[in-house]
Amino acid sequence: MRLETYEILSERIVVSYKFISEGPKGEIKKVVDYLELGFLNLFNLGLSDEDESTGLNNDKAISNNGDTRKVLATVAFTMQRFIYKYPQARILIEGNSASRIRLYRINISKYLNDILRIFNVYGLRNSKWELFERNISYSAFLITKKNNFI
Amino acid sequence: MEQKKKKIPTKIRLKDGTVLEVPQDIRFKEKWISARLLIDRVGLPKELEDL
Repeated sequence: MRLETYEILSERIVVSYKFISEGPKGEIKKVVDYLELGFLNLFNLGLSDEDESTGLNNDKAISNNGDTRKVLATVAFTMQRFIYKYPQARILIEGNSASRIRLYRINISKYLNDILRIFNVYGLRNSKWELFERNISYSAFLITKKNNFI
Repeated sequence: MEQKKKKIPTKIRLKDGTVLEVPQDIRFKEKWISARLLIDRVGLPKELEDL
């Protein structure tokens, strides 16, 4: 028997990891946010600069602080921490510009073997998800924990 | 010159006609809308649909 129910709402989770980028432009506060979308265990990953004066995060900032590799490695590290806390999570990465998506793709490609030890990586191409492959352009990424990784 | 603030919708309509309220957390509204509409449009990878 299927009973009629009311729609239920749950509080959304936002998990934030903060770190400081150090380089020629000084210290820049960075924030990696995992925003629960409220369906299908999906979380949106966002990387932004924290603006202390406004209290807002700017995800369109291009800091050019000469440490892109270290910043992205730190983002990957937050992903490990996050997935340990929320093993069922599916992490969606849209990026807010073609150049940022390209940057993510290049770095996923570069470290793909290491990434695939822990995560499944999907790329969105022509409105369809497929397993990530090097040298293919994608418009978004979806990352989940591998079942055999504890 | 002061820039006009971009209006963010308070509701979105999904493919099946369902209308959803946009969460009021100001930091993430646009990201939420973008991701929600993307998944509504393309769904999930096949392997993840059955889980």
